[in-house]
Amino acid sequence: MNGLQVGQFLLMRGTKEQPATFVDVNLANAKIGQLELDGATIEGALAMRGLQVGRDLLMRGGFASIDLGGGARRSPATSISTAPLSRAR
Amino acid sequence: MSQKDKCPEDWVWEKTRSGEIADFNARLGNTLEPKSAGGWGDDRRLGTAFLRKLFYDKTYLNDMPPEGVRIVGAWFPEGLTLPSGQLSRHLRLEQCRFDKPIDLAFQELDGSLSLVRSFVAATPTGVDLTNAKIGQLELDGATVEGALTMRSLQVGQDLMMRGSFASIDLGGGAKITGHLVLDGGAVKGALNMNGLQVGQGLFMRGTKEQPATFAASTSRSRRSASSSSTAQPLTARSS
Repeated sequence: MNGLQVGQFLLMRGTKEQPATFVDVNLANAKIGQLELDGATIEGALAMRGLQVGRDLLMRGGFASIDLGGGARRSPATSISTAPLSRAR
Repeated sequence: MSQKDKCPEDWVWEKTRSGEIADFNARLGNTLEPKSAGGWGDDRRLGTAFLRKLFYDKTYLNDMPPEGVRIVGAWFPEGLTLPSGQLSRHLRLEQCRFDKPIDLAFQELDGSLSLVRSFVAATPTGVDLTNAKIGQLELDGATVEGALTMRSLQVGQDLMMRGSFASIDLGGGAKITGHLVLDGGAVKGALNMNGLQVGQGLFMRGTKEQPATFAASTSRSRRSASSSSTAQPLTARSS
């Protein structure tokens, strides 16, 4: 998903009843209106270097690793909710 | 001659010309499961030559209503090969079984293309929509055992893909003007969306009916030297 552009929402959320599972997500250099990963299971890396989110980035869940470096940014009004990271970079 | 005595092609054309859905399941009183190889016979058999005739022979095209071709429960043992053309009507092939690939690369389709609940058994290529331009594309409930190649695809409205796929390549500057819906979808191999543009929402959520499972939704796949443009199953994790 490197360089992905989404005008409005990218919804990758899951719940216990309605799980959503991903292996190694690469959102580097993506431009997304709003990104929701709440409750999603991501097995492996979540790369977000250079990611631009226009509004909210919601990440309430457990993630093995997250890379938000390399100029990743969000708009000033953005709220980020993150969960405990088992291994942050 | 009774309806049931007509050959499948004549019957489909008769239904199409009158703006009706050619539903083989209803005609034969037996709904077949596209994933199951059993039961598919000549009474449901259609081929590329027939569809090519409907869309490219003016004798047929001039008589085709705006609804286009809508077929349910047909068997395409030779797959479907309709690349590099222009289809000016809807093409809906639902609950159908394809034993060989579907090739619609470089095809321009003003209306909708539907493969809802259809099954494509072919491998390694399942469905090729490279550089196609389609009004609306519906793959809900479809199962494609081979690669689903959609590089540089352009969809004027929505792309609905709540189905099961071996791999999806939506790279190469593919553009979806409306929504891309993969809710409850399952992708066993690589899901390449590098550089994809989605005008509205991209949905990859789990659903009540089916969890969403995307085995490798990244670009960091290992590629062999001979496959630089096709998505490969991801075997490496980020370091």
